[in-house]
Amino acid sequence: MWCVQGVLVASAALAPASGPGGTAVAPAPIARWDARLAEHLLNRAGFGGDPAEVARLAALGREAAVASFFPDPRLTPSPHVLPGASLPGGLEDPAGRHEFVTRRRENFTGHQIEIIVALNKYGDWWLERMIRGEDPLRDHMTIFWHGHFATSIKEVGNSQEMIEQVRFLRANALESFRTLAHGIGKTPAMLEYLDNAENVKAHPNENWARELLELFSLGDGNYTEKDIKEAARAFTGWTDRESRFVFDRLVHDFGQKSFLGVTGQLDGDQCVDVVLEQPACARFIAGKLLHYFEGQEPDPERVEDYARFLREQDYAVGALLRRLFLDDAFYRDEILGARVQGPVEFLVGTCRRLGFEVPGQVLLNGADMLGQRLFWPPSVKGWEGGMSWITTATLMNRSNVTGAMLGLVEMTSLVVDEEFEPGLLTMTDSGRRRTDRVSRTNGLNHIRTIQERGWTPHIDLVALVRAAGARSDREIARVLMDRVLAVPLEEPMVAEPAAWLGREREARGVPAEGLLDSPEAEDLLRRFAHLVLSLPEAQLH
Amino acid sequence: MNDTHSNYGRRQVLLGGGALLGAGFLLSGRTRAWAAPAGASATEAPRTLLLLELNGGNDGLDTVIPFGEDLYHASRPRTRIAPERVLRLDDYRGFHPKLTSLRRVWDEGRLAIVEGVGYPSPNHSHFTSLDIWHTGQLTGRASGDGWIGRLMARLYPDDRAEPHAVHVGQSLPYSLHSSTHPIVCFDSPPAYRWAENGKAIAEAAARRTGAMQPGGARPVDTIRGIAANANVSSAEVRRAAARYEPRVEYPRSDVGQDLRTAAALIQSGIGVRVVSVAHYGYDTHEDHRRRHDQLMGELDLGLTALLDDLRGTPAGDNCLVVVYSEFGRRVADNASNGIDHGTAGPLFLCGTPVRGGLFGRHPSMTELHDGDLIHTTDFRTVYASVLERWFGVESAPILGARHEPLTGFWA
Repeated sequence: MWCVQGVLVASAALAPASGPGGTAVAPAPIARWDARLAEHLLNRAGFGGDPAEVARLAALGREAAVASFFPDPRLTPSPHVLPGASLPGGLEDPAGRHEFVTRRRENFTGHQIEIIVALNKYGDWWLERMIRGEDPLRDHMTIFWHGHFATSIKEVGNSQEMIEQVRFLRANALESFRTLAHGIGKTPAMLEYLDNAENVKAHPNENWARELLELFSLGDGNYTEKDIKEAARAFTGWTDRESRFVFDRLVHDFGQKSFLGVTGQLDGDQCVDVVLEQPACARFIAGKLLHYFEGQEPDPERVEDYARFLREQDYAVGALLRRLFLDDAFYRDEILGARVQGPVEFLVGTCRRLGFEVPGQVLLNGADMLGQRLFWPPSVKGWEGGMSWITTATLMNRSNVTGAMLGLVEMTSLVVDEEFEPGLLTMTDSGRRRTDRVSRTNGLNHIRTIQERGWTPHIDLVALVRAAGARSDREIARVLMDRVLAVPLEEPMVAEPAAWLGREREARGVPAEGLLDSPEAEDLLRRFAHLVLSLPEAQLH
Repeated sequence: MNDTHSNYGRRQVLLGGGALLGAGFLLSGRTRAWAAPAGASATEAPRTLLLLELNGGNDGLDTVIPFGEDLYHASRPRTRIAPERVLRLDDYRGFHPKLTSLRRVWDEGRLAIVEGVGYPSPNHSHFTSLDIWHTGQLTGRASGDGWIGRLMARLYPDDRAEPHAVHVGQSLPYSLHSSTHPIVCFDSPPAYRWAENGKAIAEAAARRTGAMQPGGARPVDTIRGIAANANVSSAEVRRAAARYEPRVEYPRSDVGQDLRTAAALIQSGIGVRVVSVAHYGYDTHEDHRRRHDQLMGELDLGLTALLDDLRGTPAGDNCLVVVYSEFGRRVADNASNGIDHGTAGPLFLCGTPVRGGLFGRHPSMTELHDGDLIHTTDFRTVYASVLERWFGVESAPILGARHEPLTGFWA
């Protein structure tokens, strides 16, 4: 899976300044490093991995392991979806080659299916990248920025604009926040989502200006309502035509503005520069990155320290992350294994740890059921993350979706509640259960369709356990739990699931030590893996 | 009253049917649910609260329209609603034209409108303002749990095992956030369960390792507690939704269906005291007229279906419905035919416990602050009234300060 890593590691180690995180940082002279810390890095910077990948990172040492997360971006280019002219960030623009016309909001429903097709293709590609793990930090950071500069296809209504925006985020995910801050407001998706496309001198629309300051750069409390109004004036005339950024002079307010203490005939780009000069901006971005990757609110001194570093590096995000991943504090005990895995992290990580292939659409729609639908963040604030991922419903859905991935859960059974609504399910000729009812939950319906078309997972847990040399219930339980969990396995955790495995084995009339040779083996091991994935411990990394 | 409650009888029958996982919630829910709240008479059925959040900042001026105000028409050349289309309540104000059913509720004296509701130094951020509404404190989340979370702690100081507050929807609003008490959140009742391995998961995952500790809990323990909440509520919630026979037809909109589920929970007598529902889409910076019209139509049909459904049943008559939004919108519209974030707006109180009428005071349309309405009624006076008069608990510990309860709207 990490076939290119050797090359990348070598080149990154030799020429640390070449990659996006390549700015030289003096690391601790002798860094503590072992398999546990290596897995921590792999979990947080990437999407976890199997024991071989963990071992490889552990053997590299901390510096080289961290460097391996910053491969030369030219080696893993963004997909070339459509040819066309250039957009900010070196993107391709699909102008004139739209499969469908922009039909915002009013006609959205009618075009939903076509729109979804294009987004699904891109989603499949993105998920494929995450699972293959060629440039996992970049893919991870693309999710981060997608949640930070959140726009949703629901309001944008144009899949190419969404795709181009995510490609822009991916291309700059580890580069300069300066580029992101200047470019994001020019992406048609953002121009549409926050209505700046309609922001004109006569009656400024404040939506973009407000969120730029509140959510994208400074944070609440670091600007005034007056600043928002002034910024909104400066951004008048930023609009889009044919899915391309256009500056419309005729509706731009060329008058004098006073914004965050700077007075002049400011335009939008100058406003962004003023924002980037604010100490609050580096503090906000550094704090959010630390919080995201460590899973805990960072203390103010650390935020200040990293904010200073980010300013010194002219907002080079890769440099900040490289410093963080080399920082002993990133590996302190209270951080390890204590972060709630986001839905995409959890599902992609499960595939990577168990080494099995699941269609991208099952993962995308599964993540939707867990509260993270890529391309559809719930609001401009993106996803809240942390413990808010876990509600009573999403916790059960984490079990149900991984159950579907393991071929154990039929989504149809979640559309109708057989316990309390008997008789609504009927059997088809092929022996599948079906109902005409459609769930309100989008992701569930999609996975159900994929299942009804006959998809079953390709996975061989018997071979996996056999290869590890496990025979007894306890050994099998230990091997599978170690494999499934992103947190280190502690021996007391094994007892109860192992006892369950023993009871189930006996209930099926399989003798001890004979499980792997039994025809029941694969089903029982999958059920065991499913049980483990449903445990509270499995939600953390 | 509780002994003759039809749902109560049905529940006892169902007990024999044997819920696989939900027995704890069921049993203790019954005994506690029917216990009177502090300060209320012991014979009273449990009082419940349904919160309906109009998420995104509902435009108050196009909900209860001051059509008699020239400035309304002058400030909104692109989006205003012509006076002849307004459903007049008096010579000054009237409902949005889509609120025809709600107009009937008003005519029947069952809807209280509190005008000009907001708070000092209004914040125009959705998220900060929602946090303020959700905590009942101007410092937002820094003050701790949500106001409903704190209410749970006051109502059930010794019961940290059974959930009594439910959000119907995908993401939990902070109002229900509790660091001490269990909360339930779901959007699709049939899917609210472990489809496979349920029994094993319940045994392995949902063991409580001890009472929830405010702050400081290890994440794994917090998740374990959530698993326990899921475990005790799953069968109850699904049964309540599947068996529910509403007396009216609910609209097919998301909010309509969520309100149906909310009514099912209120009627089921399973111990739910607060149900929360959100209606999304009110952030109408652009294309306001068409979008707000549609939202008002959905609100009208959904809310009145709920009120008609609840009315005249023992549990329904003891349900107070509160409809609120994080802020209103600006007085003037923008060139995108939209309206930006504003401040004060009307709040609705309805249900049998409510005496209809106008409360608070309409904000001045001429005395503005930076183009925004100046609130006349602090929303925390409404919260204080709900906490003290409805739930019989002291409001100051929950709201962090004493707010004189708004009165007059109680039947």
